[in-house]
Amino acid sequence: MEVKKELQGTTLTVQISGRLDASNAAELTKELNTSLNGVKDLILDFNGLEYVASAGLRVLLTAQKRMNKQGSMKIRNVSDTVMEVLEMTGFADLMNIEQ
Amino acid sequence: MNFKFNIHKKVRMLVLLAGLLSFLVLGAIALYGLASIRADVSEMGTEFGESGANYTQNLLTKQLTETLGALVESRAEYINRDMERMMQDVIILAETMTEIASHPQNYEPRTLPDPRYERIGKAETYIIYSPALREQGVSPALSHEIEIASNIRDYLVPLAKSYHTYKSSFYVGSKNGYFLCSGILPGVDYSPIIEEEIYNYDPRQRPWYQTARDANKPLFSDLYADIDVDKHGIPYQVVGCSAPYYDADGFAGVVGLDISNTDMNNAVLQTGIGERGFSFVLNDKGRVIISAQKEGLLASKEDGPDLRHDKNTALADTVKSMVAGESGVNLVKIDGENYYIAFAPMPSIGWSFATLIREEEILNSAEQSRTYFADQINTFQDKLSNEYTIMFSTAVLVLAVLLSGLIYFSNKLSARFVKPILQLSDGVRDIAGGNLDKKITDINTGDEIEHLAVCFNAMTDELQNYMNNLKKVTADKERIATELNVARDIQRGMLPGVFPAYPDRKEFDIYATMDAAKEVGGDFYDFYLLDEDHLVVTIADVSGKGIPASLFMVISKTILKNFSVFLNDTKDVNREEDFSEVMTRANDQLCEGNEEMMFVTVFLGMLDLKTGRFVYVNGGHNPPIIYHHAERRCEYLGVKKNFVLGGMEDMRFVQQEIQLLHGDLIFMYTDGVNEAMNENKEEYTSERLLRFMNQTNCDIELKELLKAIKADVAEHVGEAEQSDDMTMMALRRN
Repeated sequence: MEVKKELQGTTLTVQISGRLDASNAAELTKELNTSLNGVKDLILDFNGLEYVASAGLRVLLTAQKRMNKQGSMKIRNVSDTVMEVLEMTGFADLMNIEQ
Repeated sequence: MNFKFNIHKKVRMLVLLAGLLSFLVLGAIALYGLASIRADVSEMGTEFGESGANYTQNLLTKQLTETLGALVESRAEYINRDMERMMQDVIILAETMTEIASHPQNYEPRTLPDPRYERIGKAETYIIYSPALREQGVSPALSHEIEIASNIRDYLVPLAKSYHTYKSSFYVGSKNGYFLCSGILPGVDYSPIIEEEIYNYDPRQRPWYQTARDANKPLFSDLYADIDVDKHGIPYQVVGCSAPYYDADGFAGVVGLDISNTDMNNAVLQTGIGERGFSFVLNDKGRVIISAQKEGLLASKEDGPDLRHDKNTALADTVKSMVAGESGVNLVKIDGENYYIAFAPMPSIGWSFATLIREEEILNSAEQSRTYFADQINTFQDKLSNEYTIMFSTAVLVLAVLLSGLIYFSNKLSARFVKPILQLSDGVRDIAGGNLDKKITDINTGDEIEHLAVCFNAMTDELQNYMNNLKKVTADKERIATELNVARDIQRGMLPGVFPAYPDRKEFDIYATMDAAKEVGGDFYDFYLLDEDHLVVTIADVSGKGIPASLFMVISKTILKNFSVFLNDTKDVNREEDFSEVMTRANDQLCEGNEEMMFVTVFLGMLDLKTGRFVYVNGGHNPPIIYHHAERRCEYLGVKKNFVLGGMEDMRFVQQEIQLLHGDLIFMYTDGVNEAMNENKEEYTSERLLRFMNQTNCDIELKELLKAIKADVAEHVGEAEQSDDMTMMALRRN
């Protein structure tokens, strides 16, 4: 997994690529925990993200819950495989996904 | 050993090469220098010998001629001095005689012996009367004059004695015809006087008398035959010097002395140089007066030729120079041979002294010196050649000695060099053998090898520490693993694991398996009868892995079952129509205090065993596959996309239902199946699962069916490690 962050004002764009699974979900959690202070708009760019495991979904959920309090969260560039998972687990309904 | 040999050899080669290289370079330079010096010296020697010989020849010729000149000059001076002495003696004699003749009153009359009557002793003064005087008779006045003149005897005798080594005569010739004389004949104690002199001698007719009288001054006469004889009675040629004396009336006679020219020759002869070199004295008229030559052109002869007019022009020119009073060295040809003639003037008498030396002899000397010189050079070259040979042999010898020394020392050095490395490698081998207590202590080389040994010891210590830590950590891990295994066993024990589960119920079959991954996971399945006619099935997957996941799984399973049972027993809830209420309530319960944001995907279904109505709620789980027995066809069960459980409170869950015919079956699974990966990270995929199930016979025993599916998954996975729990459950309505 590779994570790139870009902060513009209060908008944080996090680009996640590779595989997001149990082995690195904690890493992403940590990344987001430290970066989300003062962020109003979080954009998760899934361009290049091949796979999301349930542990990864947990990170998304955590982020979503936090952003519900301090602003909004948007997910974009979701691949079909990942979309399938998001839809199956009901995450797609819960989250703002840009197609 | 290969290692040792290599370093050993390398060090040896290095030392050898360095030593040899420097030696060879130095040697080559030295030999080259030597060779070029040799060549140079050889060339120089030849050149030097040649030019040296030439130079020597020239120098020698020059020096010889110069020496000849100097010699001739000194000889000329010497003879000149003799002549001067003669002249002086004659002048004194003349003055003494003039004194006596001018003042006869001062002298007593004396009588001298007459050889006619007595024998005359050595140097004794005697009197001769000329025939003319004897004829006219001696007047008393003349007799008195003679008796007075006889007083000269007191001067003549000592003078004669002072010339005792020469054949010589000292005399006074009066104008009146008498002759007073002292003679010296060396080695004889009397004066040999011949009859001719006693009876026929008139001094007034002798050349010495006439020339002195005519010149009226002291002078040397030319060579003439003396009246005196040697001890054999043979007259000899003399050189004379005579001077006039006077009485009160003027000219009174002539005094003189003469010396045998052969006696003078001695002096001249001594100055001969070389085998056939000789000397001569030339008078002012170009005649040879005294000569070492007995015959030939340059022999002394009475009335000899005037050589100034000789047809030998070189000689004539030289003689002219001599007469002119010059000195010099010329080359002349005499009697067919080349001579260097050196000459110098004798200024007192206007004569010239000359010495001749054959050119050949000078050339011989020069040639000798040239030969000597060449010999020296040759000897030098030979010596040099010998030295060179010796030096070369020495160099070869030194090279051999040095080489063996180098080999010896490089061997020693490399052995010394390699020894600690060997010690080190032995020590390391020991350590590698597992003896971590081993310390490499006996290396004290003070260099990198000792440092390496120290590092090795440090490494051994570290290794030992690490091993100890590892032991501890391993023990800890072992303990945790054991505990985890226990946890897994407990977790497994919570799942229904006995099949057939309901052997007495023929309306349905149910079978489930769970293949846990290495790490304890969050999959679970469950089934239970709510009452005689209602069977609830659950398959779920908790997010994440490990202890938290398994704990959440236990909670989820318990809560789900509790609510199923609880709601089934609640009066105002319709068990079938409000089935989704189980999920809604369970979700709310799971969200409570769920700080870790754990969640679980759940497929929950309930089969009415009588009617075949299957009500289900899907909470974010993989849709199950339904097998339509009548059509022998599988498809994915249409599921509403409800959210997972535990993620968000107050979620609404939509339930769905389907009619199961006899023989139909529901196949439920977790993502460990469709996401099972092979070594190329390729997933098994739900498509392949559906395809496989459509290709296989789904009417077989559920256990066999699951085994077949598992086999297909295993075929895909191959050697790859199982990354996630793989749970499958199948329910068939009979």
